[in-house]
Amino acid sequence: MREFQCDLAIIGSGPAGLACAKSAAEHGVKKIVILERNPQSGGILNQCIHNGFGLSVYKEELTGPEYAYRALQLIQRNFPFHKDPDMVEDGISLFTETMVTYISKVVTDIAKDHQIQALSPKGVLIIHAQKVFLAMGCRERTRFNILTPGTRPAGIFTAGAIQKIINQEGLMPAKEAVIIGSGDIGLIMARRLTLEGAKVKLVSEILPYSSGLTRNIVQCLQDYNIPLRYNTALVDIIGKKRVEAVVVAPVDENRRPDLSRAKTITCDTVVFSVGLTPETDLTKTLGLVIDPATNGYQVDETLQTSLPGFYSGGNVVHVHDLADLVTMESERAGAGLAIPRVPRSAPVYLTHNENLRYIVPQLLRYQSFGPLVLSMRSTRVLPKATLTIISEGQVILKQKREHVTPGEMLVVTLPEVLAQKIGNDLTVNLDEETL
Amino acid sequence: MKQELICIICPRGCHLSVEVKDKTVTSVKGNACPRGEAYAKKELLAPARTLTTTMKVEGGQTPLVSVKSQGEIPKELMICAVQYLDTLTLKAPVLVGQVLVENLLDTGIAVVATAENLEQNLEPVA
Ligand code: SF4
Repeated sequence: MREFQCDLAIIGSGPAGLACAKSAAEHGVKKIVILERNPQSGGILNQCIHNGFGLSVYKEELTGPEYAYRALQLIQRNFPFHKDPDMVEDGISLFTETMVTYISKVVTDIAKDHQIQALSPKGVLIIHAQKVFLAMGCRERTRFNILTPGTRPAGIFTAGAIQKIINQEGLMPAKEAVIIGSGDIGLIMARRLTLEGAKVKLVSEILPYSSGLTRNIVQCLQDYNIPLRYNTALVDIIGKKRVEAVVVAPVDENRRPDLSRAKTITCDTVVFSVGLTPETDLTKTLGLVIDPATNGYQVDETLQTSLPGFYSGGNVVHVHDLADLVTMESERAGAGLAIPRVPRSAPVYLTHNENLRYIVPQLLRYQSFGPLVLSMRSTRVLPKATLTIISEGQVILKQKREHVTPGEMLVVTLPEVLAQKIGNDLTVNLDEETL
Repeated sequence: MKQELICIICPRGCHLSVEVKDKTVTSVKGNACPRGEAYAKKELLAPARTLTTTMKVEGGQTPLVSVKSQGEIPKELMICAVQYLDTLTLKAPVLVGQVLVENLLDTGIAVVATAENLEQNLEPVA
């Protein structure tokens, strides 16, 4: 067993963990430890070999692995960097193949000491950290999350699992596939399967629209003549040892399938792309507050969770649509945890109207300090909308927005002069603009 | 002749309405920025895409390395290009940005690595 002390322990080295490490180091945090369960840093970016990353952060279009490489390079070039060291020194230490199994909060008279237990190839690791940044990201929802009936043969994958098998392990597990759900990863895997020689017979979406980007429908489906059917549900999976077919049926406006119009499609593979959910299991025993709207940690404007000293960012707070946004959020967390702030007399909980599903941060704990960034998601499609931010009856900001959709995160930055106007309450309203 | 297209250059996805006469684009409407017009012209006359895929690596830490075409290749060559790249096997180490194929299927476009894949057991056994 090895035991280390550090100022900041980061769990996960995807875009969130790497960005927080860099930003915390820039703001003077000395001993930073990153714990990564894979042999390599970068998280899910390593298997996302397609491009479209980096346009905001690096001002050029990169693939996932290139984005991960750049993020690590920024750390290696600017700070003392140690990979799998025997001792933790000043700078950023990355421990790979190290799986955190338990986090406990020990408050003694002398110090607040958060204790992290992890398993590594060199044995058990105990890390005593002043502060912790939770960056575990998200995981995919599975067939069970959408209550799919049918047997349990081989050949059923989530989009991310088949992406890993094809892009990292070099195996090709499908000849004829049907994809359930039209999220971006599902669309990208439809193209990937086709390029590697499989026939994708259908992408089936239960909603009347796709949650993926239009450009992905064009360049992943239309380019290869892959059919996409809306208002269509999966009603059965057939097969004993291996998937033999799926049954799909059109749904009514209550999403109830019309079985009289069901169709059987033969295939050996079913791929589920039915959404993502924050991976918060690791902290269950700590009782951190989870926002039911995001399924992720509730955070304040410094990205601190409900437990002092525990910060978080990226997809474990709320599922982002772009890695760039994860990076920017986690950089704010790195600054947030490093710079002391003056607390408000009472926290301000943000409220919003019915056109918004959630806002991150959920609350403000500190007096205004620099610009305030709010991330939010709408509940429905609004071709033209007005976003209004109100405090104590005063309109602080009013903005026009076009093409608002639940699939695209809205980010609003309140400059410091406006953030200072926030009083004892804060409401954000998104209203449809009527012409 | 009138054609409807969706611009795929940025996530906004503008719906373009394009007028084509004698194999030349005479007008583009619906684009929110000039890149949409350039896209429409190219898409109707010579559609091209950036290819991202993987190649096999021998002696590396993992069996594959992710790669991309360093520029766009004709759309109809995408499947062919992947089939061709799947027949090749590289030798570790492969470094980010390393040119792996200089001229992919005579397109004049190179294929470069987008990740690194170093040799297995780099350190001598103690
Ligand atoms: S026309 Fe311009 S704004 Fe519209 S999708 Fe194309 S690049 Fe984006």
